[in-house]
Order: sequence, then structure tokens, then C-alpha cells
Amino acid sequence: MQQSTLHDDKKLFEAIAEGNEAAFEILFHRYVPKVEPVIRKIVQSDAVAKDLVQDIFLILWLGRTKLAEVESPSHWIFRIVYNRAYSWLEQQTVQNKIHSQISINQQQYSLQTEENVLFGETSRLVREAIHLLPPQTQKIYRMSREEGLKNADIAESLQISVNTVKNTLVNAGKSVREHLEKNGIVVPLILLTFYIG
Amino acid sequence: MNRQLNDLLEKARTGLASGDELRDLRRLIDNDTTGEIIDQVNAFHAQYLDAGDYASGYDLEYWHKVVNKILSADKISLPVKQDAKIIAISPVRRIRRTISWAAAIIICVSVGGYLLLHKRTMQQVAVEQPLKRADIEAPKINRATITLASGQHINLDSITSGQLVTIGNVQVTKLQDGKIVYNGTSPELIYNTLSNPRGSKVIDMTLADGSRVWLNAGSSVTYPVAFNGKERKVSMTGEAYFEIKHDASAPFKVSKGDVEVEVLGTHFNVNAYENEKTIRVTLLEGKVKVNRHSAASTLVPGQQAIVANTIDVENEVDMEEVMAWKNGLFKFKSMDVLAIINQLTNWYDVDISFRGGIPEKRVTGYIERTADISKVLEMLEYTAGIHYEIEGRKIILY
Repeated sequence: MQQSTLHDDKKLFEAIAEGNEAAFEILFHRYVPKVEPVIRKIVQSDAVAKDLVQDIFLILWLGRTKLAEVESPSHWIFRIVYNRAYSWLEQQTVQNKIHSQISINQQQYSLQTEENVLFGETSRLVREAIHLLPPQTQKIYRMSREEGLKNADIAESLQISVNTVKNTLVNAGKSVREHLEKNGIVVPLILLTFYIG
Repeated sequence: MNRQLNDLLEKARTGLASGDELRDLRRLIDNDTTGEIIDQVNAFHAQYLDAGDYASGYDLEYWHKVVNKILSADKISLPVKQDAKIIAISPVRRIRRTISWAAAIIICVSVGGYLLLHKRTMQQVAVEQPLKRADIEAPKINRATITLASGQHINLDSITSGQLVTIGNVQVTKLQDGKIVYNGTSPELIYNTLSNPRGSKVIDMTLADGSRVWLNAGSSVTYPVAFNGKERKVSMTGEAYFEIKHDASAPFKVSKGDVEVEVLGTHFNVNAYENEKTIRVTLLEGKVKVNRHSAASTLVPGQQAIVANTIDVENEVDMEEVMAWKNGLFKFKSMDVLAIINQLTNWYDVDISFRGGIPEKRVTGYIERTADISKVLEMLEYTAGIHYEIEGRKIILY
């Protein structure tokens, strides 16, 4: 059973790396019921846990081109989970020190998560980043993300190699992340580039 | 066992860790290359997590929205084909205020269902399959029959549209879109039965009083061709959804065996399949009273009565899940495998058996009811690790 789950998860990661939304959805619903209670336990807040789950899977999706190389998806996901959850605690501790104020101000946080200010800003910046890509990259990116074409199909229709398509998409992903970082939204690169073997 | 790691985790858990200690903890986690640290952190948390932490439930509606948000984060604009699909699939005309949030869900459903259904997309995810397997299509036609008081059967699919039969002053008509309509009056109560077999599309009928009934596959309803007197009484088997025309002078009663649902004017669903252990009455609008022997429960919209030896009332009911059959969907929200099997049995008209016991798993997912059975079984395969074989109309799960 363990073996087959590992096998399935790897297949899902490979499919997600190709931009397969159905695979992402399956993975999401497979892992969120497992990770959400753990995060809630660490951060002691339902609203924060929900927000962190969203961040974690956004990181996963935006960094998807690298997923095919991940050997153990479960370890990989849980590493991001713990990184995000303990980073959040760390930030709270530091902030509390600065403001010498103990309350996390739960209510204020919930209000923010309600509309998800950060997420809206991230989406906007991602779109902006895509518009900044070179025309050919943008075209390949659109074919992959908007028309849902497989790398092989894109390669055939543009008369280029599958590897070129793959590399273009990897670079596009990198440009997007860099644009986010420039604007203060840090997608932890270490988590996306460092793999459990 | 890494002592330092365990100390840091314990401090973080009890709220005693300093900023520096939390940073050290995070670094240990970030730098794990073998998975050993992660395993230890998992084991640490497993000590403190119990069933209660998982019992608060998985809010599927909420998480579906999150999935959509994430997936649209790096799209410049929404593809046109998804919009088109939403229009094509959403039978939301009848969805009332009580379930108005359903619209948002339908979008997730249609996009998700669309992707799950799309062959090209599926192939990318497919766990290698040795052979092209046999398959069973979803019902394409309706094979319902009306049994008249004389015992004569009318096969509805053999008649394209128009008048089917006249019973006294009552005309029975089949409309172009397949709906059956009774119209007229009758001095005496003459009963007809509409039967919709397993593996047949949902049929929609308007009774002589203007009330409407939708009948799922493997279901039947017996009703007078025209109502008169102080009561409007019908009986049923299987699963049906009713929209009852208000008439304060003549309460409408639906019975299944010794269970009776008494209504004035309302919308509700009754699931009374023989292969389910209970009868479930779900109220969407209005007010109904569910009776069995001397026990009775009155429902308000959004509630569900679960009738077994006693009547239990459930408050948190997922209306989308209950009404999915009428909206052309399978919707499983943490549903046990047996309940899913029962739905598939009726819809695809198949016999499903298990090799080595029914797994105690819960499955969450959506799919359109027009999908071949293999697509639904593939979903079970991905989400619950249940494999399948198809032989003719027999399905073996293992």
C-alpha cells in the first residue's frame, strides 16, 4: 500500500510538472486533509492554518516544473508544510518582541484572510510577470497554461523540440518567481530547488 | 532520534521557543536531504494528533475554491472553453436561494469534472494500465415505462412525443424534451405507476395538480392520474425529488412502506433505495413532516431526516451532494465506498462485487454522470487506491 501510494504520488507529481490541473486537484484533496490538522496544531489557529495551506499549494503549483524530479513527494510536501508553519511561528515571536505585545490579534488576521489580500496581490504580480515574458515564451506559456496542451503537442505545433518547450516553461516559471521576489513576495526557492533523494 | 530536534519541537509546541530556536528548527527541516528529519517531525506530531483533530471535517466547498484560485493564479485570462462548459453543464435554473452558494461550487464541479473527463488530460495522469479495458457507458436514453390501472405498459422511449394516452378526462402527454405531463380531472382515483429502471436517465413528470417529480434510475412512483378529496397521496421506491404545488386544503403525502412524508407545498428529496439501510428525506424548501408509526419529525429547509428504527435529523446536509443526481453529477463528499457502489449500481445497471471485503475508505470527488463507468472507477483508483476489472456488466473491485 505504502509503495503504491508513493508510486501514485510520483505519477501525480510528474503530471503536475506538465501542468495537469486534474492531477493537482487530486493531489490537493489527497494531502490537505492530512496536512491541515498538523498545521492547525502548530499555529493554533484555524484561519492561519487555512491560509498557510493555500500558500503551500500555491508554492507547489508555481514551482511545478521541477516536481518531476522529486523522489519522495510526501517528504517534499511535509517539508514545505513545516517550513511554512514554523516560519509563521518565528515571525509571530519576532513581531511580539518588537511590539512587546503578546496577542497575535487573531481577529485582525482573520479579517485579512477573509479576502485574502496577499493572494490577490500574488495573482496580480504573476499576471504582470507573464506579460513581461518574451513573445515566444509567452506564447508557449499560454499554450501550456491556457489551452492545456501537453509539451509534446506544443512542440509539434511550433516545430520545436520538446526539450525547448520544457526549458522555456522552466524559465518562465523562474521569471515569475523572480518577479514575485522583487516585489517582496518570497516563494522559498530553497524549497523548490532542493530535493530529497 | 535527534535529541536537539525533539527539544525544539517540544518547545515550539508549548509556546516556549524563542525566535532563534524556531529558526534553528526551520533550518533543520529545510536542510533535510534524506527525509529522516521529516519522518521524525511527523512522528512527533502524530503523538499529539488524535481523531478529534481530523474530525472537524474537510470543507470541500472551501477547498475547491482554493484549488481554483491557485490554478487561476498564473493564468492571464480564463480560457473560453471553461466558461462554455459552465453554461452547458449548469442546470442551476432550479437551484433556489437555500442553496445559492451552489453556483460557485458548480463552477468548480464543471471545471474539475471537465478535466477529469477529458481523455487527453486523464492520459497524462494515468497509472499504467496493461490493456484497454472493457467499459460501460452512462445511460444515454430514458427507458421508463408507465403502468396503467389496467396493467398495460407504455414504453416511453418508443414514443417520440405527443399524447400517450387518455384516461377518462386526463391526458397524458410526452413533451419534446421527454417530460411527462398529466392534465385533467377524474371523479375517481385511478392509479398509474411510472417506473424508471436501473441504467436509465432521470425522468421528469408533472402530475395533474402541477406538482413535479424527478425520478432517479432504479426508482418508481405510483400516483393517481388526477387528485381529488382532502389528500394527495403517492408512493415511491428508489430516489425521487418532489416540487409540490401548494394546496393548503389538500396535503401531499409521499409514502415508502411505513414511512410517510407529509407536506403542504415544498421541495424535497427522498432516497429510499432498497440497497440503502435507511430512508433519507432532505428538505430544500418549505416544511415537511416525516412519520413512521408513532414517531414524527418536522424538518426545516437544509435538514435531512434519516429514517431507520428511529428518525434522526441531520442539520449539516450538503444539498449539492443530495441533489447531484438531479443535476447530472456524482458528488461524493467523504462518502463510504458502499454508498458509492449503490449509486453506480443503479445508474450504470451493473453488478459490483468486492474481492476481499469492502475497504473502509471514504472518497471525495465529483464527476459528471454522463461519464463512462471507467472514469468513475478511475477516480476511485486515484483517490482511494481501489482497483477495478470490468467483465460484461459485472465489476470487480479490489
